[in-house]
Amino acid sequence: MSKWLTRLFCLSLFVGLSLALLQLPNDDARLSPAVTRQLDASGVSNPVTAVLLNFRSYDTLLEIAVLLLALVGAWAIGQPRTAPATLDDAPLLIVLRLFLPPIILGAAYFLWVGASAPGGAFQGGAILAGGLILLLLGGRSPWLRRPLLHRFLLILGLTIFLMLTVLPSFSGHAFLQYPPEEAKIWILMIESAALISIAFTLTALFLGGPPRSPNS
Amino acid sequence: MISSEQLYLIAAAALVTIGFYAIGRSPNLMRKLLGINVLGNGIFLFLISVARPPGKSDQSPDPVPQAMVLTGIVVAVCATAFALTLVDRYRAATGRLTLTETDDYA
Amino acid sequence: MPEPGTDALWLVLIPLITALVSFLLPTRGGTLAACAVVVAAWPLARLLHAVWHTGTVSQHLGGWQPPLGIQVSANGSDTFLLMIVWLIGLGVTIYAFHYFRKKSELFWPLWMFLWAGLNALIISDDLFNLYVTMELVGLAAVALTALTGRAEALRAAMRYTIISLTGSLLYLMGVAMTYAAYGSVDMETLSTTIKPHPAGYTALGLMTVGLIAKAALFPCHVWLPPAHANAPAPVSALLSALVIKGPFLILAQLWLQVYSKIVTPEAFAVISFLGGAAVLWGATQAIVQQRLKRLIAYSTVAQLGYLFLALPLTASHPDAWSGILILLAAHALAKTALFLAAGNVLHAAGHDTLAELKTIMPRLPVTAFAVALAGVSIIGLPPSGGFLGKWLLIVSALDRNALGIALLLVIGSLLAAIYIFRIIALAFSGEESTKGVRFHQPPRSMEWAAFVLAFFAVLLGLASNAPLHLISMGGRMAP
Repeated sequence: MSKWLTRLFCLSLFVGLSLALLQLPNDDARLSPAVTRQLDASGVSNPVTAVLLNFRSYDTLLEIAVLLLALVGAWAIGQPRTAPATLDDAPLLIVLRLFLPPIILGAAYFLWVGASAPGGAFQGGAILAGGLILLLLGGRSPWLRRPLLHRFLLILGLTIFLMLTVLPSFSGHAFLQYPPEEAKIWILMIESAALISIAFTLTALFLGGPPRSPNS
Repeated sequence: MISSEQLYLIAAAALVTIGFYAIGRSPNLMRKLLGINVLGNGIFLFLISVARPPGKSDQSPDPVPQAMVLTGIVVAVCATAFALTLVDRYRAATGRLTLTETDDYA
Repeated sequence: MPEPGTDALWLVLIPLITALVSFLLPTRGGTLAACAVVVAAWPLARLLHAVWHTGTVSQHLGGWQPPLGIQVSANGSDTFLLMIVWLIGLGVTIYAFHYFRKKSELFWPLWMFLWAGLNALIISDDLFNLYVTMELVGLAAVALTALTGRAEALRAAMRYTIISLTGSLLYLMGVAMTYAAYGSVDMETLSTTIKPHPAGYTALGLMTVGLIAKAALFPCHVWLPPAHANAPAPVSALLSALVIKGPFLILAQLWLQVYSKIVTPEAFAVISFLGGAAVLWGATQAIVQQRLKRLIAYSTVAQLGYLFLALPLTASHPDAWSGILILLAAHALAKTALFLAAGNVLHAAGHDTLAELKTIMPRLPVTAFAVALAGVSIIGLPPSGGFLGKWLLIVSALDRNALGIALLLVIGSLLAAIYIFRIIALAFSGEESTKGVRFHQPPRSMEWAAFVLAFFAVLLGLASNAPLHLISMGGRMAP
């Protein structure tokens, strides 16, 4: 009985939602002109990066906080995991040697190109995370044996971001108000630090729990 | 008949509905999490279609919904990763992958 | 000299910074959190001073004007809420310092993230930004709920996670549709440009459903009692007092300000009805509970119902909004005191069965009085803050001939009296002879934290002029 009720409800949800969506105005420029007008002052030429790292950078700041929070939460409630043992597997070593350099280059490339084309810290961070996960699966993850360094790498992104959030307020500006001539450098600094933290955080989330050192 | 914009919108509505149904009706926790992801992806699909430039002009797509999608994806990934860790811990503690229907009343 | 608008955001930045440092240095978490609370008092005081004299302070982050950029602002209501959050945060931090001692080191960064998220939620004026703050609060809350690692806590946390994430996503869909239909996510801009439109109604409907689920309003309340009852005591306090209020505040802003032009009286009637149902259902369930924390959790369901019940009154009576906020604050203080007291009982006796209260309470006099004071506010007896809030609401309801609302407010108080008196009777009727009963004296600061917060719940009603004046500064529902 309640199965059919749910199905009926979902059907009406679908129909109602579709009808509402189809009636949306589809020739609205919305906020696009405002972005275009201010794009030159943003320090980058890719409008999406401008929105993410400049116009609405507060959202990105909180989002990086959410990323770190998810990891802290996972460490608080997850079962401790030991890092996989080192695999002396010939094909794996070949894969690592072949793939890691392009992955690192690719991550750096996406970081750099994000200023003018699709790309940025998140995309680069995800790619680098792929490389770190490959290392992890092969048992070559030395950062797990150095907890303090590991935690430092994890908080680096948010730390730099917070520093650059606060810095403008000491000279009377609003928070996150980058000096217009240096905006590009500020954005690059934030994105570089964020890329590292994003990569290590995603890898740690992949591990699935707090890393347990082999001695404990 | 149906333009491509309209197709995107209907597809987004469909994904949202399917995700919602999966969350509500699946007893299995993994399926509920997948439902949450499908729901999220429906919303992201909708946001991308909102970014479409007006008419047939050569303006670039609206960057604000694109930025929202990027932020949304990161948040969704974090939440899913955390939820999976919780499911794993839950299964280790109870041996089950479903939520029991009755709570323990004291 | 930094402008006053920056003070509000420091209340977000200080907890974030502390979260980072306490993650880097886990063993110092408690000390760092205590420092954060102390340090945060300075921008809070400056903010209070600024709002008291000028009404509203705001800042455009990045220097970009909304709707392109994001605005944060604090009016009188926001400042009042920030102060309540701070006060409860102080009490919970002191309590948790001794409750956890050296265990659960990750409690501290999680709590700091939660505090940052709550403050960010209160000051935000941007619909999408509110989504991110809700995720910050939600993830921290769920992780904290599961902290004990026991099966019931994990199950409750799992259910909470699913509902919280689904609710957030429904809200996000509403935000997306709002942007698509009206071209902005800035609340101030939207409040002037929103016109009736099918997409607008649907967007508001989706956001409302999502927020109702997250706020545990009847009938979406099922997840709350297990989650709040099975969490560690300081976490239960944070969940019932603060976390659950966030979605309500967002919904109130949506209905009363952003979408006020298209919300219908029928919709208000429906949500008010659900609030009334929550009052009745929560209170009656609380009366039959056998465990203390479960009882307190059901009481939260009921008390939250009052807030929704009274929403229709705010359109015509500014006093009603003050009443809602005072009730919200008094409940937050009293509920924290109750949960901390329950934590003391658990610490002392190892369980919280109501029947055993009479053997434990005689040896915890400070805790017992905390329970009594908190109970006075929960019932709504004068001169407590609970009484003041309900009084303002009843007066507004009678003035508008909303007899149903007034009646439910009174009935709710009577029902609350039943379960509160039950606790108090058991707590104060005890015998001293406790041979063979396990008793482990909790640290003094844990008992006093509960007492002081309960005292503030009553003080809110006694020294009400200042809070009421503060709430009215800057236009009650202005962004």
